Amino acid sequence: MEDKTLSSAESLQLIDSMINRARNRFSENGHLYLVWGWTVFVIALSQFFVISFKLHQQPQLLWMLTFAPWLYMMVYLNRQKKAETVRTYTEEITSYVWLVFVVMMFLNGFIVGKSGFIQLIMPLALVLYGMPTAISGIVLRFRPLVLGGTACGLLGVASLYVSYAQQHLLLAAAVLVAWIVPGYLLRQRYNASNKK
Amino acid sequence: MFKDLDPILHSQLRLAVMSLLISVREAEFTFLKEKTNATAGNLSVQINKLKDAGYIEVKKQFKDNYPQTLCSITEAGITAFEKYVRDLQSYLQTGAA
Repeated sequence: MEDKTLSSAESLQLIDSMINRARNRFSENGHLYLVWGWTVFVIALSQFFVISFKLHQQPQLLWMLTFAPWLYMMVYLNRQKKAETVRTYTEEITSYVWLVFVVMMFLNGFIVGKSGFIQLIMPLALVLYGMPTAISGIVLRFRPLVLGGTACGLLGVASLYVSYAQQHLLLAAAVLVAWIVPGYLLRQRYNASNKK
Repeated sequence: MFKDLDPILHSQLRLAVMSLLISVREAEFTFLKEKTNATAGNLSVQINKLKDAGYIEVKKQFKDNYPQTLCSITEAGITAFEKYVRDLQSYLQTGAA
């Protein structure tokens, strides 16, 4: 491209083509949705069995297994940040939404733990899971995430009516519809858009 | 009419850079170079002109010991870009009438 002046029609065409070049870049490959989706899915199901068959006194210790995905996520995000040459508004919004979500989850755990109403942790966690998932779906214009986020909210309400052990089955169902399925669909969309 | 168009924006490469930057939060020099297919020298000159006009902000820093140039559009740049598009549209409408 040279530094030449343009006719008005050429100018509009150029603006249109450049905006499309920047916008058509779909950077969400669904990888972290899958990492966390499968992690929480396996832990939730394991917790269900541990609680149901009274296999251990402290089933919540299973959450210690998230240490490895946490570490992996840090390394992965750091590598991604190093490789990126552009940052879109969408990426910025979604990354902050997930950051706020993590803080809120810790606060949720702390508040519920202190209050003694431990049976409320799952309904509140499910509702919280839904928030960043739905917002990411809206910002990315990706309907499966919006539906997944909505499903989390509904499962959160439903979890008030089941036993503590069964709440873990609802958690597994929530991550399946909110993270795992959309994660695979995001990967598919990412691969398709990068093939073009 | 045509002479009223912002001369800073009414040039192929500068307009391309502004159109890319209006769509993103910030972009590296390498991204702009790849998308515009411009030479590094020419792009650098045009980026400086946009910076001097106050339309873009240029941040120079190091990433993994390599120099990195990050560009982002300023409020003044957004206003100028919007005005440029409006002027273009009114010019085309006048031309069509």
